[in-house]
Amino acid sequence: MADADADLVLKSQNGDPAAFEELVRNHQHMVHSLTYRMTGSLADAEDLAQETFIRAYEQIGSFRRASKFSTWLYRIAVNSCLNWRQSEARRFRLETSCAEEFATRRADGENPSGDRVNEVQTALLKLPAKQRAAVVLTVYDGLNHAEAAQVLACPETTVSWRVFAAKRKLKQLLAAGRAAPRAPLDRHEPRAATDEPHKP
Amino acid sequence: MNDFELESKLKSVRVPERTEAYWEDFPSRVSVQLPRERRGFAPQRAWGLRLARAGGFALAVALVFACVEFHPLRAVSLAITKQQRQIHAQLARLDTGLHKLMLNTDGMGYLLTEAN
Repeated sequence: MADADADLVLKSQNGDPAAFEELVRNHQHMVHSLTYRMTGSLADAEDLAQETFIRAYEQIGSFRRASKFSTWLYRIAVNSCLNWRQSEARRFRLETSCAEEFATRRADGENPSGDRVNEVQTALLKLPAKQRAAVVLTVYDGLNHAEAAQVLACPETTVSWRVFAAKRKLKQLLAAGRAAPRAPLDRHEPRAATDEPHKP
Repeated sequence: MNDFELESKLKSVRVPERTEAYWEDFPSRVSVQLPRERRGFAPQRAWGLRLARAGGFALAVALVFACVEFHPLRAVSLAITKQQRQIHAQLARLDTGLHKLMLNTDGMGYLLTEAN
């Protein structure tokens, strides 16, 4: 843990809200990026980021400094995202709202490369949540598989499998240009390359 | 598409920018939502509670064991068994001539001493 974090964590554990606010300030970009990649929606990303920090504050007394504070915070953020997206109906609604959000921004001229953004983000949202989390942590946040395994609380081989399966599906979706927002019927489409077939 | 091309394509999509005011404001918006009573130390309290429960359970098991093991009737029974063994051992040591063991108010030891 960085020295600055260590000091702030200690103060937060002793009930100093200003110290915790400083921790939020230090890690807010990282948490927002993660929640945005997981949801594809700015509004939902903000909600989840807030939820992550509130849960972190509630649980900071149990943080034993066995890992970096950022790793611990990542884990809370990922769990929040995974718990939040459990239902398929919600998943579909999010994909739709994500596509609408991109379309709106494109229409406003906010994002000239909106098609590509939409395509990639929609492809990401088509992945099972655990595979998406593995891709976000390893590709976007640059964690190695061991670090991602620590965050996701699973074996390193499981992370490797999830990344492999996710990349295989993403290649199919992006190469064929099939990542466009799904029609409602697609909800019943069986998931290809779902989570790990073997649990080590 | 190979892995490198895929990662390039994924990374080319950036998270939409938020305003500087948003980042300035966000920590304080989180702060106002923080619970007054932090549950952060709850695990420690729960840990203490679990320890107390485990201790109570262990004490109860020890008491039950003690009651069974050191019950007065069990102690009397063990004493009788021990005396029977001693009597049989003493009888085995007698050469001959004593066919009946008589109760003596002075105790078994005196009677056996007389017989020897």
